[in-house]
Amino acid sequence: MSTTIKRQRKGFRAWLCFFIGLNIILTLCAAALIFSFNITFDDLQHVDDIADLALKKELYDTRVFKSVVADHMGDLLGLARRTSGVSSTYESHRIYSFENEVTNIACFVQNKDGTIIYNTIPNEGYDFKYDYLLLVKDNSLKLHISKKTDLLKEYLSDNISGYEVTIDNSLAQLSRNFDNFIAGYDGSEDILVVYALRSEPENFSSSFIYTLKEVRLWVRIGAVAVLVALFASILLLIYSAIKSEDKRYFFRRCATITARVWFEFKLAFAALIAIILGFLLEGVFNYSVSYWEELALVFALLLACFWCIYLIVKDLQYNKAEFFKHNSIRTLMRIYSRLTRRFPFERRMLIGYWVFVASELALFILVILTFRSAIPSTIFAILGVAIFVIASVKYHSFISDTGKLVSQINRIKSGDLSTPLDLDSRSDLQEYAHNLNSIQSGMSNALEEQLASERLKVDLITNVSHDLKTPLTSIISYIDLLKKEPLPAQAIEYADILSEKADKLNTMIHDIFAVSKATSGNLVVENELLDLSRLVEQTLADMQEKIATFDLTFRVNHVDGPLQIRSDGQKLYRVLQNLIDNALCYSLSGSRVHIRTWAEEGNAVLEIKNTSKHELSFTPEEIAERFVRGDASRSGEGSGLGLSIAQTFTEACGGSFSINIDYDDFKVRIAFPLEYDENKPEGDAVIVQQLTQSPPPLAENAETPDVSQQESQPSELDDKMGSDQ
Amino acid sequence: MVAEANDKSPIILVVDDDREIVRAIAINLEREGYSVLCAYDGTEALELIAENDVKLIILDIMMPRLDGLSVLMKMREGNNIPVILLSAKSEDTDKILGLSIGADDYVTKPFNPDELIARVRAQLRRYMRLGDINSTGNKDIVSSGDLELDITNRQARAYGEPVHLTATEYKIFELLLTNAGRIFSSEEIYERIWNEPAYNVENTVMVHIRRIREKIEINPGAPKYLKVVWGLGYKIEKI
Repeated sequence: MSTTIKRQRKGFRAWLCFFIGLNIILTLCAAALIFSFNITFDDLQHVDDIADLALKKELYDTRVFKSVVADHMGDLLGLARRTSGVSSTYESHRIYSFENEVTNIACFVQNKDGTIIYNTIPNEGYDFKYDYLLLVKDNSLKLHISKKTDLLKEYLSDNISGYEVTIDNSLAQLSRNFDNFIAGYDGSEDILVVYALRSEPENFSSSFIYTLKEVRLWVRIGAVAVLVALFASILLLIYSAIKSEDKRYFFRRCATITARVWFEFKLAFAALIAIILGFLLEGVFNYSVSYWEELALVFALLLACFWCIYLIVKDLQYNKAEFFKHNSIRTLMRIYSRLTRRFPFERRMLIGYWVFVASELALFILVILTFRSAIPSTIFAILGVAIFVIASVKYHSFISDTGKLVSQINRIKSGDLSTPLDLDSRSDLQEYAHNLNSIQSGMSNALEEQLASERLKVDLITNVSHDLKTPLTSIISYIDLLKKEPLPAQAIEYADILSEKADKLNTMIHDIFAVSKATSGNLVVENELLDLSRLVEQTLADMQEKIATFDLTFRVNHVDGPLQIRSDGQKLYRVLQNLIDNALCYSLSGSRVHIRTWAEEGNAVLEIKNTSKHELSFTPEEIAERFVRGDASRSGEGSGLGLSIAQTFTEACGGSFSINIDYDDFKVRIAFPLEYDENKPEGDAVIVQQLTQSPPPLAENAETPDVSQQESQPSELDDKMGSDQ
Repeated sequence: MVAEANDKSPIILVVDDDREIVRAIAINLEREGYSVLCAYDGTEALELIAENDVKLIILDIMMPRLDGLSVLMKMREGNNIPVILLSAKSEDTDKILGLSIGADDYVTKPFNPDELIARVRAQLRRYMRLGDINSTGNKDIVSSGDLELDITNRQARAYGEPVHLTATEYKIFELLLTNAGRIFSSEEIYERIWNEPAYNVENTVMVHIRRIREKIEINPGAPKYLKVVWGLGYKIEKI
């Protein structure tokens, strides 16, 4: 909290520097502009004159001073041509350039005849201090600038009598410096002119020369002030440029405040500024402003306008679209939605609809009522159209949001739990989209938890089976060692039993592991094209030794011959092995086991049917459960996982598995989608043809060669082959 | 437990963290006339390999300090002693990993002691005889991995030992081995060997296949070469 205040303060400081610096620069620019156009100080008509006045080291060297003095000297030289003197009071008034200076300048003019033409040296004599003296004597002009402000009397007494001139300038040189000096004077006449400026003016206010001194001082001070101000403002601007980050932060803060102001107010404000600016500029360009005070006021107003425009521009820059969006209509709509929020969804939508209809109707009536006056009726009509447009846009977005909501529901239904639905915060359906998102995330969390627990289970089983295998390895190894020792007959029998049970334990551990992997979806399935009928034949052939030990007859019928399916042969062999094992274990002694394959509705179907020796007192669902066995006493062999493995493996390989119990008939049905392999080689087809012909049609009493009969074939054939050798 | 290293008999190193298993294997191996060295973790095993002229290693995968696969990798930097991996992990991926790192065989726990001995014998024979096989460039000898068939002498060998096959078995073996990797359906085999139209011959062929398998495979229950391709036919793996 304190850091934001600190940042704000820093930002304000940076902005303030920028503000003051820019103000100073603008003021200086304006002043310079006005000065260059509008200098009215008597003779100081040019900027370079002022610069000259301010920059020259001595006042006597400045152009203004020289021109004034030259004027005066011209007049005095003119007087020197005259033959008769003038009464000082009358004539001096006729000399224009002396008008205001006469009491501050001591003049003495003597013509070539020695007649005193003009004398303003006061009665007290030469007894006053001077600091600038021009003397024309003996056809030369002498200038004496007194640093010590000597008394004129002392100087004249020294020099007029002795003609010792301390001035180094010749008349010609001097006249070049004084523009008008030489006019009417060629320097050939023997005249005497004294022109001395008093150090202390008697009548200060009327003295141009002395005012010039003051002006010079003020111009100098002013120039220094301007320079200092310029320097300071540049420093301020540089500072604010360095701290532009803080400044921007401050602007952003300000923008958040100005963002709350309605667009309409801003528009009115801008219009007001435009009007004021128009008036001001008109006044300036028509020169109706002439006084300093007025000029300053105009400038201050212009500056204020500048800052107002700056504010608006910054507002626009930082708030961008929000600048326009925050307006009275939106505020009204927000208030409306806040008022109607507590209503249920359906009612809210209906209220919205009726408000729309009512306002349109009201505006329509108003348009008709104010039909005669153009402005109100136009306003009402525009309002009506505007409301219609707004309502249409809103309706359109409502429909599209509904569409999004519907498709999101469909997505969730089809199992996509990862992409949430983002609707605009102003949407009427936003709340419901949010609710849907929480349902979705809840579902996905539950699913993840389930998966995690399933994974944990698999890990557990994997570890347990590993931990079981290690001691079992020792058991099997030592039983084996034991069996190799010389033992009494009974001990051998016991060792055999141990060996058998250890092997059984081993297969059980394998089965548990296989089932847990298959149910958790971690089974690696390698699907390839294979023939289901052939698979059945191979499995039966593989198991024929075991089958022969049971008093069971196998009836095999491949109704539709070879059945191409895409599956994992190794896993499917395991399935068939388990199913046949199951049939062997639980079939009634002397009964028949029927195995049939056929094609049905694009599926390859395998059915194994046997008659149970126990009464089947369980449901198909129960029997496929893990570790459930047909006999409640669990006395038979098998891990109790056979059917479970068969089911999970079948499903993992892409097939369907079902059990059907009809009193004592136990039926397992496996189905896989048929594959049609078009690239099957010709030779295979022949073989397949033969295979199809081999099994006789399914009939109860048909002479189907059963497995026990087939078993005798190899030995006969072997002998036959042997004789061929 | 370190057995006396006999100069004549090859030294076999048995590595497992379970001392009882090591002992049982050692007893079995010694009965077969091998000298046995025992180690109970990976680092110990590496030390023994460095110090002794070990001819074969039986290596457990899951061990403390240094596991079997790491031992195998370290060891394979220097030599090519045959290694039989021993593991409770029965996944195919575990087997493939072990074999790809450089193991010569893979036996899952719990194992049949006789089968382990047979594999040891097979590996040792192959390791010792490696030079001879390369020198004899007889064209009439067909082979795949540890299986060999001398067609001129009608002599089949598995893991270096002669195998006695009946005439039919020999014909089937020859057909499958000369076309190693190809799958033959039972009908095709029957027609080629018996020269008669095939009719319900799956059992006949299967019986012969099983008998051949018992003669040439170390563990007929989990054959390495002669395999049933379920739903398709039979083949000998091309290695």
